[in-house]
Amino acid sequence: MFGPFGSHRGHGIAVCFGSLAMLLIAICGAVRGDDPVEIILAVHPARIDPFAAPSRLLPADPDLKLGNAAVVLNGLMAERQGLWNSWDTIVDDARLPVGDPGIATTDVAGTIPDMIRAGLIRNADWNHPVREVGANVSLADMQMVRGLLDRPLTIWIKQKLAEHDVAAATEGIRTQLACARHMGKAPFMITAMQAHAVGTVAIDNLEYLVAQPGCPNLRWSLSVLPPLLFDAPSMLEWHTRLLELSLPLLKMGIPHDSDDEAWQQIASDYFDLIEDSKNPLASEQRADLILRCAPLGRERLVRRGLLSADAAMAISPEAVVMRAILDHHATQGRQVRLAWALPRSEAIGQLATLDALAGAWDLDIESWPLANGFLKDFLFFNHFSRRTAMLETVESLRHHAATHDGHLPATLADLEYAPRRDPVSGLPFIYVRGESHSAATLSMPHIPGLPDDSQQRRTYKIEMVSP
Amino acid sequence: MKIHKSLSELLLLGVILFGSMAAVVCADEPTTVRLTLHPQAIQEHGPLRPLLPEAPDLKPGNAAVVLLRMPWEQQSWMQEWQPKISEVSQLSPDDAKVAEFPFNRFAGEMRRAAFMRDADWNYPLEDEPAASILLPDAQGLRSFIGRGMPIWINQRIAAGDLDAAREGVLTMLACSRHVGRTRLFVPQLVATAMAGAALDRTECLISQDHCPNLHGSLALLPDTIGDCQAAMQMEAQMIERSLPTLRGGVPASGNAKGWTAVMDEYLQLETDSAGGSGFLIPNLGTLRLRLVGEARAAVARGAFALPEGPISDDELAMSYILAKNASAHRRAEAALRLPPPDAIRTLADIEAEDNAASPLESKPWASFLRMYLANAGFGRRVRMLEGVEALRDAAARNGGRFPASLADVTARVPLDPFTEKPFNYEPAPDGLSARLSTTAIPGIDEPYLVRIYELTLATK
Repeated sequence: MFGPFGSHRGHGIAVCFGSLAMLLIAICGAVRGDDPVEIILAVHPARIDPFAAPSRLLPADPDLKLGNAAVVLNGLMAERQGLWNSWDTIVDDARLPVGDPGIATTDVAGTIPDMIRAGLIRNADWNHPVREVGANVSLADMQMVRGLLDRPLTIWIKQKLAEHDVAAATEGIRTQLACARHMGKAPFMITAMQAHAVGTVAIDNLEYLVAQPGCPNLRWSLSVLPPLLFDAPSMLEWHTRLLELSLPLLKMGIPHDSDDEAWQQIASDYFDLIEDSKNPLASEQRADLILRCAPLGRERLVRRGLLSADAAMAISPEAVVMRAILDHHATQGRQVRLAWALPRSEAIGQLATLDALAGAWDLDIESWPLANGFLKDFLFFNHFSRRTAMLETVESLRHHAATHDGHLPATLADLEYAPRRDPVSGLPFIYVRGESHSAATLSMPHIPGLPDDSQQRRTYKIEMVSP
Repeated sequence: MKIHKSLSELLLLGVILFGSMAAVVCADEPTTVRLTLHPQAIQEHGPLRPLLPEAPDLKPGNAAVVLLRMPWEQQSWMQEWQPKISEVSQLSPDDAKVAEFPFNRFAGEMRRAAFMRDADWNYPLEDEPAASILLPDAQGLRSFIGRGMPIWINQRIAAGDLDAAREGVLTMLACSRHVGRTRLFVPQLVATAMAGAALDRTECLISQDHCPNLHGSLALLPDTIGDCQAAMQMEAQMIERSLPTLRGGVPASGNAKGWTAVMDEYLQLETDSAGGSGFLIPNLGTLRLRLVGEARAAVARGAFALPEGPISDDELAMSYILAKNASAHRRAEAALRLPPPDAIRTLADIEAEDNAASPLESKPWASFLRMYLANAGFGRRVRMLEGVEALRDAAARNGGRFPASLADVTARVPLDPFTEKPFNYEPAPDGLSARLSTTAIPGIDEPYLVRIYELTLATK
């Protein structure tokens, strides 16, 4: 449906909706794909003490200091250039399980204090020139920061877990989440995704943490985490403006329909944006494509009352096609924003509808950056809160076991501390206790209306270790 | 009037300070709003008309500075016109006094502030006892933003410039959000009250003939105008930040003199706060005995673990108060993350347990439930207005009549967020009028939480 550009995207990959979630799977390994994931959690009973001060997994607002965390994190990369020499080893070691001897000797400690410092700073202004160049921003800094927060910090957390230093490991995870939130302050969807990729790694580490003997109950700590690590309305507002910010002439407003020269330039800039820079179309190919698309574009503009039939015939093919693309982009941007504003269970249906409509986009030129994959992106982001809610329920189970001789409850309704529901579907998590009363499974419910391969369901096989 | 930020007086701030907030906090009658509506379909295409600035439109700068310098820039205006704001703001858009009210540069400056990214009010939170920090600026701004801007909007409405009026609502909401950036309960309440005034103008706006349907614009508004979570985190530290002795850290266990100093400061704070709020307060000696008794009772029922070693009564009582304060705020903070019906239930439980456990008439913390209902009440009003706009759309599609039921409405009608049930909808048999009202909140019987729209369709 996307014609010649459907299979190759250009340098605009940095900020593109759609298949970005899958791109992230490839680049960070943090997302575990669509298959159901089973995790064995051998956990210890741990009572919730309402009067004890539990650790926070994000800094409390009054504890934040003035400053710009982006400067600290970027400075860290400049300061620790030697780290990149051993980067391949670090990447490999970060994947090792807690307690693996290979991880104990990896030297990452020098990077940690600055990351902790950054986590305790209130603001992060990344100063990307988005107003100046739109999507043509290099986000290499964010990729590097993501790498730092993911790999060296994870290694350090795992080292602390191996040493049974629960407090330090908790601080590491808090830093990971706080810095992920800083990344989420950049105005791009890709950076929001990178933030959530780091958040996903932090939740992986939390699973290790709650399995540690002596780990205090983290139910409250999990319960006050935000559902997202970025400001979704703000990100979507930026994202829907990205096209006009990326096409220099549009910054001065929409040209007059008869300004052929301006529309030709806009079309040329647009092709530059969406094409693979290594395999651009020749100018004749571009012109041919525009000519082929112009009748459909004309029909769309007339159908939607944006131009009269006569006016549509009087303007250049470039003006027709680009106006159709801009209209499509504006409409989709509006619909995506409205869908995200809905309660999550409703948003799913709406975004699925938008994906279907995007598939019916009638021009043979990709509508960038709002292409499709809206639902996949939404689910990727919201997987974070599904996982924290599920872990919160594990902590309610640990409390129950601590107050019931190590036994798990027959049903979640027996818990003293009410279990969370799956925040996306609104349904309860699925809990089945084993015959031994010390083992159970806890699974994410099936999200109604979604095919199996989109569910990203997660199951904990919980084993309650005897005190 | 100065707003004195103290602990227990929050309960009464609604009465003392906030005009429309007074209706929210204290009224014992439901709020009934009569709106005459003109059918207007939702425009499916084109840009949304925002009611808050969009992120790419925000500029660097500190809006607090812009807002606070306004009175200094216009001193003669302040002397002549500022005292009349309150009276004129109550008048209808077509009143002559509204038309002649001058704004000089005020409206422009407020709009400039609205489009700034940040607002840092620079309260001395780190330097002074928190409970003694004065917030007179918040009250002063309420006059400009909460009362002045509605007059400006009314002028635009009277002139038929509805898009400018919509921008005025945007300015009010954005400036309210700026006030709410201070992470304390009082500014959050002030911000919510001003945002409520903006919604009052929105009601007036959508009643105008030819007003575009704002269904989508309302849908994009947030559920709260401030940051309740951050405010809760700050308020959790309010005792520690308000008692000079504790700012240097908690005294060591067994340091009887240190703990007595803490207790003395706490009792003074409590009596100051309770006095300000009008509570009857016992003398300090009696209050001290009550606190010690409450702490002992908590230890006896296993609700509080005694610190190890020999400790004084003051240490016992203050340790208990501090732990209880932290615990209550932790529970309340977690409740804020829950869906509203669960949050309301949880906060009501916290309040009931506190009332049962404490012999004190005043508490060292505000009513979390009232705070929540006020803050989230903004979102509830927005969703209800979204419903009104869906009904305007339905009337436009239905030959100028309201539909027979909400199920017949094409556009989305949000649920009542406080109950997650559909708003009550009662159309008249002729379809020319209808009533839309909030649903009953289980376990909370407060008339001020009931809002009713009496809707009538204008006949051409």
